[in-house]
Amino acid sequence: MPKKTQKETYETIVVGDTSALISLAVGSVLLKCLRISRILIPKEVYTELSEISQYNDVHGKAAQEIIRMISNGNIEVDEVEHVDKINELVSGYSRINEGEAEALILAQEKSIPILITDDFRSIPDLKKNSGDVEIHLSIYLLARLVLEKIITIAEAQDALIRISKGRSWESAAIYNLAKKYINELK
Amino acid sequence: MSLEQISMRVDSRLLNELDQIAKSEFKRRSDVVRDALVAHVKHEIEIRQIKEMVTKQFLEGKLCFDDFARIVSFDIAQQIKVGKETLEESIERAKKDSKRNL
Repeated sequence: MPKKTQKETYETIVVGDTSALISLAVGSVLLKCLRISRILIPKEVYTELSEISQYNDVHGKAAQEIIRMISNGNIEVDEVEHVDKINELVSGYSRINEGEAEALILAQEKSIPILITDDFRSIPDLKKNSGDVEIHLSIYLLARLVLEKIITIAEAQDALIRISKGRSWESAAIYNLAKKYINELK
Repeated sequence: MSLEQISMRVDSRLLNELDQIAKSEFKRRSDVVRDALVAHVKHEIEIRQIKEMVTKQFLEGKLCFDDFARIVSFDIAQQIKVGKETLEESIERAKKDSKRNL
């Protein structure tokens, strides 16, 4: 059961992988998400973000912004204890990379109920191995921002348009559908 | 539009066949390679457009999973099906968690 904070709101904690954090940063809503949830990442995700931050494109700039948030202590980085479980996932499922595997194991070890990821290729395999952890898209936090009136539906739609640019056509199809669902949150 | 130069390595047998095609069509080797490249990129764009169209139909419930998978491949169809389910679960979970805070 999530605990109540001093602001009398229920505090959510999620573990994020690289794709979800990049989405929220590209959509310019990541900082606002921290008003409704703590975000925890494993070390490997931090490494992936550091690599992406070298690119001179929209994802590179998003990664730089996330790294600044980590440096400021807004996003927490934690270590996974059972490295053997990461190796099991990565070697057993070709679509799960190290960052996603660490994120899932970290959520399981810390009893964090939600892992957010926008890596659509890995979601089927992550779900097979998720146990008590629910696998959600970054849209979980985006929808909450709308429902808790932190952003408007129009702002969420703009975020989804920005997020879908530069992603594969398969991912863009899901973000397009997400625009419809977000619109129905009125 | 500017023309850029690229270089590539190909095996000698393929290069021989390429030269024969070029000779029979009275073209330069580079022209045949460029034509092939343009045709391939055009084909890929058309295939992607078809896949995007059928994906939209599947997501709108106008195409069944089996037909969808036949067109885009089972792996991609499964990925999109699970993506849609996860999206719906994410929205439902957001509604549930937001209710606590409102």
